[in-house]
Amino acid sequence: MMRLSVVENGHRFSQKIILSIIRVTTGRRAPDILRTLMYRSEFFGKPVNQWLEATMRGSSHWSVAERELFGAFTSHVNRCPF
Amino acid sequence: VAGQAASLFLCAIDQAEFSLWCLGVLQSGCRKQAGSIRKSLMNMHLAGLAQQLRDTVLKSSGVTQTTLRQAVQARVAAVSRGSVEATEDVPVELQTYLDKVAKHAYKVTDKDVDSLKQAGYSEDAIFELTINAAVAAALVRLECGLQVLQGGA
Repeated sequence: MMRLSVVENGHRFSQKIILSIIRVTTGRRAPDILRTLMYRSEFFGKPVNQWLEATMRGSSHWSVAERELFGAFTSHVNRCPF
Repeated sequence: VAGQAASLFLCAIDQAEFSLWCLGVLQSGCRKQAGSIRKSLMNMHLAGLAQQLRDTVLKSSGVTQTTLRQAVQARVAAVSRGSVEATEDVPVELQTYLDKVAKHAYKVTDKDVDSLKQAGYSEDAIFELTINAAVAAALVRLECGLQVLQGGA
C-alpha cells in the first residue's frame, strides 16, 4: 500500500478508469509504480517515460533483454522491487 | 617487349587494386564516421531527455517552491556523491528524509513520511520533493557510471 494516499487514490477520472480496468482484467490492484507514473503524470510520469522509452527501447548496442537485465540487477542492488 | 607489356599490365592491375583498396578504406572510414556521428547524436538525445526530466520536476507547477526543489536536488546530488558538505539550504526536518532517499531509499518507513506530515508538509509537497530527490540521486549515479565508462573515475 502506498504511503501517500494521493498517489493511491488521487488520480484523474480517466486514469481511475484505466486503473479499474487493470484491476478487473488482471484480478489484481494496479502496481505502485504504475500509480506513481500516472499520478500528476505531467510532473514526473511523462518525462520519465520518454527517457525510459529511449534508454530501454531505443537504438542501442545492447539488446532490450540485456538492458532489462541491467535494470533488474540495479534494482536488486538498490533493494527495490521494481 | 612482351615482358615490358606484361609488367605494365600487372602494374595497371596493381594500381586498380590499390584504387579499389583506397575506396574501401574511404567507405569504411565514412561508415565509421557515420556510426560515430549517429552515436553522438543518440547520446545528445539521451542527455537532452535527462535534462528535460530534471527541469520538468524542478519547474512544473506544484505546491512547493522551485527554490526549495532546487535546494533539494543540490543536497541530494551532494549526498549521493558522498560529499560531507551537503548544502544546508533545505529545512532541517527534511534533511534526514532526503539523505535517506539519496543513499538508501529502501530504508524509508511510514514513520519518516508521518513525521513530514506532522511538520506541515502536504502529501503533494512530499510527492514533489521525493520525486526531485529521486531524480537528482538517479542522475548523479548515471553521471558516475558514464565517467567510469569513459575512464574518468
